Amino acid sequence: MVKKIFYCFICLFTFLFANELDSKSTTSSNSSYIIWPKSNSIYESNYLSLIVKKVDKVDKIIVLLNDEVVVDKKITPQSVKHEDILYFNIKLYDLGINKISIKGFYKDKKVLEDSLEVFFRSILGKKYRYPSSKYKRVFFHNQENEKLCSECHDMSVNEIKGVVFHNSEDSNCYECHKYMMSEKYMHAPAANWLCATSCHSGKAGEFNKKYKDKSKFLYEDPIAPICLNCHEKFKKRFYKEKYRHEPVDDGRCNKCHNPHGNNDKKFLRYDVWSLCTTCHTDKKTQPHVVMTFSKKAHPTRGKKDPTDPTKELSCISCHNPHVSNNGFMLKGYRGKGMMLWCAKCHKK
Amino acid sequence: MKLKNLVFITFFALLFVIGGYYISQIDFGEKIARVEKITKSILEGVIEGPERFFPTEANITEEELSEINISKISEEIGESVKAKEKEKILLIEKKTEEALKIELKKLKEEKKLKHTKAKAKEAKLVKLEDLPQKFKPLKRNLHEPFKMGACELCHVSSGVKPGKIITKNIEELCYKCHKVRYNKKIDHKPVKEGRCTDCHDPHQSNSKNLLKGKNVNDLCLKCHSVGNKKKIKKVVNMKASYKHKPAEKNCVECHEAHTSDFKKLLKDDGKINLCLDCHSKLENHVDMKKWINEVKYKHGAISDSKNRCLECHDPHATNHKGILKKQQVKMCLSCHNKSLKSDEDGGMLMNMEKHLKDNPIWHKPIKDVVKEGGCAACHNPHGSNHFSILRRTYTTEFYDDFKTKKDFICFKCHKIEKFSEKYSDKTGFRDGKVNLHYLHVNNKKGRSCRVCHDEHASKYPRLIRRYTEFGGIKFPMRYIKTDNGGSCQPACHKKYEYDRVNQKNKFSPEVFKK
Repeated sequence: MVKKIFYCFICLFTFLFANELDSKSTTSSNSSYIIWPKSNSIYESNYLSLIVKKVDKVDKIIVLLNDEVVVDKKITPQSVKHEDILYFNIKLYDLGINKISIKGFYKDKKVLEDSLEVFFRSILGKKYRYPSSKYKRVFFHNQENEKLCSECHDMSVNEIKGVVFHNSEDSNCYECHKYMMSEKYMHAPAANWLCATSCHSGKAGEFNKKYKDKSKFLYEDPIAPICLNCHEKFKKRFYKEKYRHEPVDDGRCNKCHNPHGNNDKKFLRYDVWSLCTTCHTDKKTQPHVVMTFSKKAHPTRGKKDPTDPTKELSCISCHNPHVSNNGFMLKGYRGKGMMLWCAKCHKK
Repeated sequence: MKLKNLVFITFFALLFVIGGYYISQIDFGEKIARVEKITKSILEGVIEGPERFFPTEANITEEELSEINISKISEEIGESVKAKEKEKILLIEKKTEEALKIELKKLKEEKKLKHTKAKAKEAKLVKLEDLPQKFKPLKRNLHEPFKMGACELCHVSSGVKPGKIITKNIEELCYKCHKVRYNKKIDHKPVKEGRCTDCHDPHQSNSKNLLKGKNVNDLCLKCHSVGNKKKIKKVVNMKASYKHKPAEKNCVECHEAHTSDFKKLLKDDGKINLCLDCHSKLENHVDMKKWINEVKYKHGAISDSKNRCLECHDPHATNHKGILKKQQVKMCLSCHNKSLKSDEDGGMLMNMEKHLKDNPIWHKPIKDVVKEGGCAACHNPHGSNHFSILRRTYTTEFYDDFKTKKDFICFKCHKIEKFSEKYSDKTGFRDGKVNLHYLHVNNKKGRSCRVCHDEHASKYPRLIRRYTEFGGIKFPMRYIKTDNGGSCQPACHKKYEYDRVNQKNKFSPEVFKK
């Protein structure tokens, strides 16, 4: 009986392994015009660099992301800096599978067509955290890939530790990653191009040990020690109070905050309500706190915050997203009971 | 009834006893003594007035004159002799008793100042009226033998030349009467060489101690003036605009005229002890001795330098305020022209000279030293209870609450309204009328002054820093000045422009919320 199970397992593993090999062989042949990104790669950042092999007879190129036109560009000999390469920046909006396709035209005739899939992964929430085994994490900044651009681009680290470029364009990273600056609010180290000396040190942490030595600019995961280096105020608080939110305890600040910058002032990846409900999915559908006979529950959004009239009611009106001394991670009223907390808004 | 009376009596008796005890406990004596002291000092001040501090030369009566002869000097000498005596006695104690007796006798003989009045009486006396013309009219103070007309004590009576002195060695002549020789470590050069008459007139003088000058200072400066620099190294320029009061008044306040155990004939160690003797007692001044010893943060220049007070101050006179050796800022930079180790936290202090050289725009106190007070406007060079020997508190933090900021050293000169009013014309850092200083300083995270401004010097107008430091990273300010405003693009926010005439940004009421 035991032997049978053992054989079964061996069969299963060989099958899985074969499947993987198969997928690898197919990807390489699939995309012939798109040099980067690799097909079926996983992305964690919302910006994507697209490198396309240039065909001589192309005068117009269209880039589609999930069947929507993102880039529509005429190509003249002046606009192409490098002889055989075209470069585009694309911003990813949707988590999960993203389809990128390019179409090249010559005198309104389609000359080339190519497409591939990438997976926009998020460590926030279970749905987009674990992509199927088809998708692989691929890093650009290793010796092999850097050869592609190394003729013209210096990809070494030219920042001095602790000092910021007076002109941010002086950074070697700027030329390729400058589109990151387009966000409304920028995080200081990112906006000042302190990429390699402050965060992307190339070291792997507890959660990404398997990627060790795969990229020059890998960042440590958990990232908290790097964050708390500057945000000292939190450092003291995080270990003082009784309860900690799971991402805080893990030290993965980048779960909720985008360390590069965002439209949100606190660099939150989405607005507060949708951010919270990506993990706490039950709060989306089920009534919160109370259920009256009229089947009206406590609102979690769409109203004004009674304690702070300038803000909209959201999860963080009542809950502290980091640490708290109270049950349910409630704000304020230390240990004096829930009723007092309710009375803050529900005055008689 | 009787019992009740008894109870009452005992009760009152007890009350009296307890009351009496308590009154006896209160000490009136001390209080009365204090009142007495205060009234006395007030009365003294009223009666003596300013003369109390600048004593004029007192007239000396005839009776006092007769006592002057060897008076003060001999007293001092007597003291030194006593000290020597003690030393000798200590030595002698070790020796045998016989030798002891002999030496004691010798000592006693030495101690006896055989006054030569008796001898003088034997000598041929000359009446004051018969004195030669050059001694007339007679001056206020007369040398005792001269007064008595005992010229023969010093002069040859039957010589060819009437003025011929018995012996040309004046030293021998003087010490004949003024018996005890000076016996401390260092002698004044004329004393050492026996030139008593260089300073003292052997016959008569209008000033005390038969001095040749009008007063002590006049006499001293005859030799120690700048004109004699070739002959004497130690000269004092008393024509400078700022003078040390004792030096102006009387050299002898600090120096000994004849001999001393300390360098430069000082009365005590001149580097600090002598200075503090007076400067811990002066009215309207801080007790320097206490201050230097007890203050939390000490300035290396006085606490452990080679010359201590004299590191910066000249004891006589200079052309710089506070009798400093150099102009105030230059004085500070004479040490701070290199990176020095701080005693406070062991860190390195800035090379201030280089910093000022590199950055052409200076903070006003440094720029206008005479009016604003130089470095000492903010730093107390004698030490302070606030870090970096600042005169008031300041911060090293990036964020600091405005409540604590209000007693910052900056607000000694800069008006606080510039920072506390939401809409203001008083500050140049405003967009329209919106006070941008208020925005930066008063919000929940109030930034301290040092975040944007360099306290000493900068390349940029308004002393804006080139870099501000946050979390161990130096962020550039990227400040650009325009005619009516400017723009700033630090790490804290994206590039914002401001204009005093045409408002550039819209401010929501949220911005002003605390």
